[in-house]
Amino acid sequence: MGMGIVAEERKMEEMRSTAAGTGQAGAGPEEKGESVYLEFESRSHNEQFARVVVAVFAARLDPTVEEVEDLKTAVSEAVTNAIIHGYEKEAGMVHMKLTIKDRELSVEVRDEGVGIADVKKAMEPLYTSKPSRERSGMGFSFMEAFMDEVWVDSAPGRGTVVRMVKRLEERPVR
Amino acid sequence: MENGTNYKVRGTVLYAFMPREVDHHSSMRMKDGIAKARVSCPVTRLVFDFSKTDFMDSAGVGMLLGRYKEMAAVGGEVFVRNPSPRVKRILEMAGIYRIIRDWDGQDEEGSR
Repeated sequence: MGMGIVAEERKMEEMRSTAAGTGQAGAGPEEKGESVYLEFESRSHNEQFARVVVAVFAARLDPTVEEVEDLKTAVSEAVTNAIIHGYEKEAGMVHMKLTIKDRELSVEVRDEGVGIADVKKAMEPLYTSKPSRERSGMGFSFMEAFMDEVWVDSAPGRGTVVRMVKRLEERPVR
Repeated sequence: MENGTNYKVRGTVLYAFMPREVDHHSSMRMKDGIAKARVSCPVTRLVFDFSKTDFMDSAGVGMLLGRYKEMAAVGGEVFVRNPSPRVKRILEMAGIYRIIRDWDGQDEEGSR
């Protein structure tokens, strides 16, 4: 499970050395952005944990209250999907990567769970694979409503990756 | 209980005082809590009080719809009270107001 972090660090290291090699040493966050990466167990109380993390990470962009709420809701939906659907059969780790580049905040939520056979159908409003579990079927609709872009990459047995981007309003320099 | 739900019964009205955050985790607990409260007394109206709530996602919407179906099945009704602007927006986006009304304290002591 630790491999995820190691691989990610190595990639970042490569990116840094490539930048240095091409004479872009010292390239600021404007070029590459800055990221945090975390993984946590698929337990329902970690939904709150993930929301707090995105709110704190977004704080460095001085977001509006509404932008923070939008990010928290979208993250909550993606993480809850990973916990309920991805790991419905057995518990596993949920991976979340947050990246800031200029005023754009990207969220990636990944699981190694059961995956989705028909992503298009899963994203339809009100569709739920678990009617008996009181799911509203609005998870992806909320992600799309509160973020500027949402992509889902999934296949049965191969887990699911949700990538979302939110472009925050420009704020006056203080 | 910082993020817990409290219940109160008055006549045949059950008030569920919602936690600060209504997500999948807290919704699972509320489903059980409301089921227990309904066993102990005949409830005809269920009021979700959102006074303390500042976060709700689609799992909370699913929980509300589930309680609505249960209450409707026995001729009962469901209401929401005092949602924050954010919670209200979520309820509106989910179309909840088509089936669940705002509670304005209608003859709360009246029916027994």
